[in-house]
Order: sequence, then C-alpha cells, then structure tokens
Amino acid sequence: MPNRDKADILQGTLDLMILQTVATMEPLHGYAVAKRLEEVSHGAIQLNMGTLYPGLLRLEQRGFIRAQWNRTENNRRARYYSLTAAGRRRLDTEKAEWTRMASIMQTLLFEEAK
Amino acid sequence: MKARLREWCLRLLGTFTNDNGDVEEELRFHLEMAEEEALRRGTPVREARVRAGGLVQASEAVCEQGAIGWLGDLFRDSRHAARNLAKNPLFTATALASLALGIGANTAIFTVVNAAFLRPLPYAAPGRIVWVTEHDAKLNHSSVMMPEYAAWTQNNTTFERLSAYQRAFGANLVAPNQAAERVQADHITPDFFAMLGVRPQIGRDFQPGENEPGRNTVALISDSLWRNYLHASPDVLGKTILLDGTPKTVIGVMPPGHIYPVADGAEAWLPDAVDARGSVPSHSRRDVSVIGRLKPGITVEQARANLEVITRSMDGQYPEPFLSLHPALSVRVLPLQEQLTTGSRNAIYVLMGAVGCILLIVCANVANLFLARSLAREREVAIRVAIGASRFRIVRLLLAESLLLGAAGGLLGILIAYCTASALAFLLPETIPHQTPIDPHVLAFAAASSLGAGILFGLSPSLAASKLDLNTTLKEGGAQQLDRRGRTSVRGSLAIAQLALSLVLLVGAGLLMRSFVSVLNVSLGFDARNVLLADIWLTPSKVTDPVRQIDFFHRTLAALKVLPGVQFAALASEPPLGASVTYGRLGLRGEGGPATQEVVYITSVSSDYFRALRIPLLAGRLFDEREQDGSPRVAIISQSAARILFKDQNPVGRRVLEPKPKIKDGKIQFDESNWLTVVGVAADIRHEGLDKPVWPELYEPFEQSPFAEMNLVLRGYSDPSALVPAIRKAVQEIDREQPVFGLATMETLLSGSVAQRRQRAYVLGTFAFVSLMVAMVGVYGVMAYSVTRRTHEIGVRIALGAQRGDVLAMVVGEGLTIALIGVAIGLALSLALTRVLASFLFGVGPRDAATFASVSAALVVATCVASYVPARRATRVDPIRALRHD
Repeated sequence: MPNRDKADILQGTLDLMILQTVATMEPLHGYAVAKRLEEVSHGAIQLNMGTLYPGLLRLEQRGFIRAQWNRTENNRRARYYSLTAAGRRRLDTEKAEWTRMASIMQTLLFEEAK
Repeated sequence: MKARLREWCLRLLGTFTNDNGDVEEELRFHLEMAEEEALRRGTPVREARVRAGGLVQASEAVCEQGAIGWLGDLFRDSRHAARNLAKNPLFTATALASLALGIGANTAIFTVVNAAFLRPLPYAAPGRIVWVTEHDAKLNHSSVMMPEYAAWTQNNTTFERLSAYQRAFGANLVAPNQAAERVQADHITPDFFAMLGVRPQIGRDFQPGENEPGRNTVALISDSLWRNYLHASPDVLGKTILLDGTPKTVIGVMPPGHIYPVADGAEAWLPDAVDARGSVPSHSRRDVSVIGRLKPGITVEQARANLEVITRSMDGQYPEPFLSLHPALSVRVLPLQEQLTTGSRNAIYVLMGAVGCILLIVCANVANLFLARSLAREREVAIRVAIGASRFRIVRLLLAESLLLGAAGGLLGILIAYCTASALAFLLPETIPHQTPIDPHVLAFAAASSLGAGILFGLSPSLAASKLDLNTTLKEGGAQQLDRRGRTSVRGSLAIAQLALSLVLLVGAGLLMRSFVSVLNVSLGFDARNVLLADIWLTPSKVTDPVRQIDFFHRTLAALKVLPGVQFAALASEPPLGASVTYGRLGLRGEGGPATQEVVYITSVSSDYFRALRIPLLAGRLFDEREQDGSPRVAIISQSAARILFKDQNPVGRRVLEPKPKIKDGKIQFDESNWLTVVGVAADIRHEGLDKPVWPELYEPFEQSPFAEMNLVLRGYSDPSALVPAIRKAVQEIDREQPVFGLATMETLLSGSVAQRRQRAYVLGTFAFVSLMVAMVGVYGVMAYSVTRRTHEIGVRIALGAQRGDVLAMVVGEGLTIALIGVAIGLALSLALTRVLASFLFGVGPRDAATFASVSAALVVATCVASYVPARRATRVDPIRALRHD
C-alpha cells in the first residue's frame, strides 16, 4: 500500500510544516497556511482541505496551537490559528530532531557511499 | 505523551458532541478565498476548487479527527435504540421489569456466593490460613490426636504458626458487683490470634508460655462481653474475674466484628488449649481443632505432605485401641474459607442454579417479545437493507437495543439486589462474617449477566431479522403473511424451554415444601406448648459432690413449683430440642440378652419430667420419692427401647445395662451398679427435633445419676415466657453467683429447628412462583402472536363453517402441545437434577411421584389458562373483516 505509507510519513512532516508556518505568521487562518506552504514550495505542496483541516484540528487537540474566530481585513469571519507555549516547545524539539535526522540521512545516503 | 492523551480525551469528548457548524463555515471560507484568488489572478475557478478539494469529504475528514469513529457509531446506535424503546413503553416496561427481576435475583444470590466463597476472610493474608485435621476414612470422622499436634508444631517446615482452639462447654462468670452470667469461654493456644492477625483493641495478646500451669491465669474477653457486661470500662485491664470459680486476670479486649472463625462465637478466651507439655489439660476431654498459617509460597499440598510424613512416623507409637486405628488416619489440609463454608455450599449452589433458571426463562421471554416486535419492524429493516445497510449493521443496530435494555435491567437488578441482599445473609454459615455487600465482584457479575442476557435474548431475533427476504417483505406492502414457519417454531421452542425450566424449579420448590409440611406433621411424642427450658450449670469448684448437686436442684425445684403460673417443674440432664445429648454408643443390653448395636439416649430426669412434657406412660410407674441416692437403681425405658430389648414381653421388673462403663486396667468393664431395674415404659419421643429419627431412650432418676448441668423444664398454665424474671430471681435467692441461661420456650426452639428448612422452601418457592409467572406471560405472548398471525386463516375457517368451539380447541390445543412438550423435557431435567436436593428433603424422595405429577398437572392447566385468553379472541374473529384484512 504505497499511498498509505506516503501518508504516514507525511503526517509528521505535515504537522511540522503547519506548526512552523503558524509560528512565523501567527495569527493566520487555514487558507493562509495552505497558501504560504504553496508559495514556499513553489507550488510543490498543495494541501487540499481534507488534509489541512484535520491536521490543524489534530494540532489543536494536542494543545500545540489554539484557534479563535476573528474578522479579516475584509470584515469576514475566519478562524485564526496561533501557537501555544507547548506548541513553541514542540516546534523547537521537532526542529532539532529534524536537523539530527537530516544529517544522519545525509551521511547515510551520500557520504558513506564515497 | 501528554499531548496524545489530550488529543484522545478531546476526541472522546467530540464523539458525544455533534457540532459541525463551525467546521463547515471554516471550510466554506477556505473555498471562497480560493475562488476569489483565482478570479483575481485570472486562473480558472474550477481548477482552484479541485485543488482545494471537496467540502463534504473535508468535513468528514475533520469529523473523523474530531471523534472516535466506532464509538460514535455505537453512541448513535444506542441513541437510536433508546428512541425506539421509548416509542414502545409497554413493550419496554415488560421487558425491563422481567430483566430487572431476573438479573436482580441472580445478583442478590450472587452476593451470598461472593460473601461465602470469594470475599477474603477478615484476617491478615487470609489466603495462607488453613484448617488441618486427621481423617479416619473408616469411621468418616475427623479430629486431631493430641500427640500429633505436638509433633506437628515441633517438626513441621511449612507453617509459620500452627495454632489450636478447643470448644468448651461454657463457664460461669462472676465479676465484681455483677449478676452471675454464663459465657462461652474457649481455650486457645497463646499464638492463636497472632496466627489470624487479629490484635486486642485494648490491652495485650497472650504471650508464649502463658499456657504453662501457674501462668495460665489470664484471659482475653470479647468486645460484646466488655460492652454489655463490663460497661466498656477501660480500667477492666488487670481486673480479676471468676470463670467457673477460678480467678482470671483480664489482659485484653478483642476488637468487635468477626474475629473468631468458630460457630456460636466466644466471649472469653483462655490460653491453655494445649499445655506446655503439648498435651490436653484435664479440664476438658474435647478434641482440639487446628488452624495454621502457611509460610509464604507454600501450597496446601506441600503442607499436607509435610504433616503426613510426621503423622506416619508416629504409627506404632500408640497403645491399643489407637494402635490399629492410627495407620488409617490421613492428614487433611484445607483453605480455612473452604472448611468454614463447606456446609452451606450445596444450599447456595442450588439457589444459584434456581436463579440461573429464572434468568434463562426471562431471556426466553424477552427474546419472544423482541421476535413479536420484529414483525412490526420488518419493513423498517427491509428499507435499511434496500438502501445499502450491511447485515452486520442491521444486527448491530438491533443488538444495541437489547444490550441497552440489558444494561438498564442490570442497573435495576443491582438496585433490587441492594435492597434484598442483606435479607439473604441467613444463607451464610455462622463461621464467616454475615455481610453481603455489593462490592466490585458483585457489580462485575451483574454487568456480565446483563451483557450475557442482552446478547442471549437479542442475538437470535436480530439474526432472524437480518435474514429477512427483501423481495417478499417489500412486495407484501406490509400484508400479513399466513405463517412464517421459522419464526413461529423459534417462538414455540422458546416457550417450551421456559416451561421446562419452570417445571424444574416448581418440582424443586414442591419437594422442599412437601418436606417442610411433612416435618411439621411429625409427632414429637411430647407436648411442646407452654413449656419453658432453662439451663443451670453448677460451678465445678463450688459444688463438687453429688449430694450437694442434688440438694441445690431440689431446693430450686421446690422454689419453682410454688411460682404462680407454673403447673409442673422438672429437671432433665438433656431435654428434647436442647443443645446437646448424651448417648451411649456401646449399645443397649437387656438382662440375659446380647448387646445390641443401637445408640441409646440417656437422660437423668426428676419425677415430674414426664408430666411436664406430657410424655404418656405406657406401662409401670413414674419415678417418685422412692428413688434416692443409694436406693436400688431403676430406669424408665422408651417404647422402642422396650421393643428392641424385650420384644413383646413385659419389660417392667426386668433389668437393663446402663451403657456407662468404668475403665479398669485399660479394659471396659461393667459392674452390678450398672444394672437398672425397669419400672416403667414411656412413649417414644423425637429427642433432637422434628426432622430427626426416634432413638431408644433410657431415663434414670436424677437422684441416682446427678449431673452438674441440669435443665429446668417448666410447664406453665399459659405462655411461660412471662415466668423468666421470676425464675432468675428464685435461683438467685438460692445462690447469688449461679447464672441461669438458655431460657427459651420449647415452641421457639421448635420453630428455630425448622427455620432453615422453612426459609429454603420459601426462597425456592418464591423463585419458582416468579418463574411460573414469567413463563405464563411467555406462553400468553406466543399464543397471542400466533392468533394475530393467523387471523386470516381463522377467518377462512370460520367462513367455511368452523364452530367457535373448534377454533377454541385449535388454539388451546396448540398451547397444550407446547405445554406437554415443555413438561416432558422439564420432567426429564428434573429427574436428573433433583438428586442435588436429596440432603434437604424429609419424608419425600427426590423423585417423589406425587410432587412430579401434581406440579406437571398444574403447569399444563396454567398453560391452558394462559392460552385461553388469546383463544377467546380467536373465536371472536369476524370472518368478513379477516378476509378483507390485507
């Protein structure tokens, strides 16, 4: 089941990406998260709502982000997400873990082979 | 992991709060933003929409993250089920009431099972406490030989402590400034309470070595003696009380509650069950009972093997007659709880079986109700199937209803058990705490039986419903089918099962009732009305010689005879229905005849004894003033003794051997003084109670065979219980330090002696009655259902000329068929099962034909009555309307 595997790997990464996006731009709504990720990845990452919103809810349930209804500049109701203290700690550990993992992968995949 | 836990808690919470408004708004905002941006950029709006994804799918995905799926389904199913149940209040109430009854009865009886076999005894680490005894398979008798106990305590490797207690006859208690009292004072080894792990609430426990002569002048007392007799005074410690005239210093008061695993309890304990040399002190000839605490990790079997080796090493060390007996003894080690509850096991299991039957009957009944209702729901189910519900989903939906009903029934059942459990505590043996609390075991049992019942009565109707043939049901357009054989036969067999189980219970209850009635109809041989018994035990250290014993009792009799309201006052060493009997195992022997094997009861009585109890004299004379200490020894024998000894000859003037031998040079010997001349023959009596056999009796005049313990037997002109204060006063005036105890009317004793039998008969009778009612409702339901189903057919029959009587006979005949099959199966079951009741029966056999026949007949009649009402309705079917009915 290749799709299932991809989704599993992606979930942790997706959570980290959302968390980082919220951290840099908080407070922001769900659409802004998707747009930001699309821009940063030059269109490589296009989240549909069925992936994005369960992810946001999951992070909210885990206490890493909080959500609040607010008005946009066009005076429309939108749900704005911002990071909690626990979310910030989580982001730091995840980042450190990512760096560690990336360097291991780098060594394993490219430098060992030489 | 805290974050994960938080997530799950919120999802759990989300499962039960369905609020999707926010999600939809948020998603719609997302879509609108995407569309606006596409417009702004001039890219196709449709593409943007596709990239954002479907609103419905996204909303579902969010919901899935927001809740726990399967739990949500369950919750929805239950809500649906609850709504359905609420829509049919009559159906729900009927099902609920019978379930509550069934589960309640089971839970209530289970509290007793739990208290008897599962709840740990209130001692420290009770699992390591064991009962130890030596069993003689030949005599089927268990006791512990004293040298064995000494050897065990010295040489075992498996016990932390091996303690012993010795039941005593009781002692006369005299404390400063108090009226004298009779108390149960048992002898124990000094470490007995330490072995159980029970400490005195004030004062100290016995110390090692306090069983040595000279140091054994200490006593522990019970909480109730301390409170009721010594006014709970804290300075009781160090005080001296007199027990049977011997001074004892109170060193401690034991805590209240169940601290002593012996029936009838004890109010004082003395430390010398076994003296320091390991032998039984002379104060009592009774056996000791041994209770020990195993070392941790030692099994019962290891302990038994260990003691068995020690016992075997002692074969051959005994004098005759024990030498030949000893090798036949085997050591038995039992968990204490098992030993204490053995006697009640059967009765409790019988009741558990009975309530189990009730629950099965109830389940069959509720299953029937469900089947009847599933008829009405066929279309609902068919539509669900048609729009794509799986069979599993249908079963789950219907099962949710039965489980919900089971759970509600369980809650009500727990309530019923809570209200009735304490009334059932009488089923427990006296040796364990008389408490039947609703504890986690009981709750688990109630939950399991609710769940089990829910599945049991829900599964078959659910499966039946899910097997529905879609085409026919929908095509019928709700029309009544003529008959659906399958379902009718399921319902029929459920009714048959109910009747069969109900018959088993009715037969059991019938047998117990008949036993109870036979017991009550037994002739005692004496007149128990208006007779009062009272016990007097002379303090051994004060009144030692027979002359003083006779003098004391003569003075007491003289004082009582003149009390107003007393018709006759007499003495008896052991009157009928009393606590103990003295009997000669050596057999009865008449002059010139051989020794017979019959056990004979020996009672010392004063001259008015036969008049006081109205025991008829059949020949010869009663005892009178001629009988004195030193005059020729005489006896009165009972009719059955006379028959055994002298056949049809006149026994008056013949001589009988008193089976009280003297032991000389290790040999059993009789001398001339053991020969008694028969002066009279009295009618037979049942000495031990209504349900006990008649034994041959040998009466001796009290003056020639006095005892330190004699019972007063008083016949009043009316209810003698009013005499109690006068009797106490009369005895006190003769000796202030002499307690009178055990005052009770013979009628009270008589009703007490059959109390257990009566209670068992009533409890099982109630259960049987309940089961009959439930089964009748079941039969009625089946017949009513069948008549409704066959309205069309019956209409055709009537149109074709069938008479009302024919229709009536047809429907009742159907009920009769069910009844006969049910009775046949029930009889077979009963024949197999009533054996377990054998030990509770009296005057009827476990296969008593009359009981079986009358109960079967009653059940058949009841079934016909239950099917008569639907049958009447069938006769009133209007053929014209019935034929149009579709």
